[in-house]
Amino acid sequence: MDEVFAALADPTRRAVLQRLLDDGPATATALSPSFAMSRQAVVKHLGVLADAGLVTAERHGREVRYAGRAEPLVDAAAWLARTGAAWDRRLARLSRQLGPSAG
Amino acid sequence: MERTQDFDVPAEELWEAVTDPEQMGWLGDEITLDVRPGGTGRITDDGETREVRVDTVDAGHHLSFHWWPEGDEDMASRVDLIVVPRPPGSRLVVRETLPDPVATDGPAGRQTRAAATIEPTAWDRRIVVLGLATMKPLAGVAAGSRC
Repeated sequence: MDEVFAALADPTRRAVLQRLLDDGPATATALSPSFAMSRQAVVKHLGVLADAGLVTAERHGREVRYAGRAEPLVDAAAWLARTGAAWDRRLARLSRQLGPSAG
Repeated sequence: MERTQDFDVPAEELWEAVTDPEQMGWLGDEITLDVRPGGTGRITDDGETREVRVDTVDAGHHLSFHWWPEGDEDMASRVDLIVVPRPPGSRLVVRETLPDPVATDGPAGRQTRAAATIEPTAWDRRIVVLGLATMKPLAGVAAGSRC
């Protein structure tokens, strides 16, 4: 999960991931004009995203096509919601246990 | 994931509620736990039983343990319970660290999870916001949920 958070720390990477998830797979060449950066810079960002499992790379002939993966984000968001709700319940019980009426 | 709750009892009493198995019923319906470093046990909460292994006990201040669904240690997450005096009352800070879904199942993956300490609050919000903005079918996460 460290890699997912690190990957999402950069606003450009978030935008690249959002673009791939919204518009489908793309090559680094196709992406770079939209982000006003060199192809190499885009490839670096894609590498960080790939390390976090947020992007996969597939070779198509001489090009590499990158695809976004939402699963790590969905998994993280779902886990946070479930875990947060569970701790809310536990803390409510602890409050009743330690409340003003408790011995 | 982080939660914070204040109580009207002194820190010593909150610590007892957090570490005395006879008082830890708020964690789950059934609990057996040896509250010492390396101690093990089981907690059943809301129908789910977890195995528990205690990591550190810093008396009066900090209890940390790993827990996981019975038989599924690869899904272990780390819980930190921190008691902070706030006279005349006290505060409990709870952190549960996310297991890494991308990590391998092998020792490297477990090491990655064990080493990961996340500054939770800002990332909770960012992850949920990004999830809501990006993923069309994102079931089960309420737009107003406070993470």
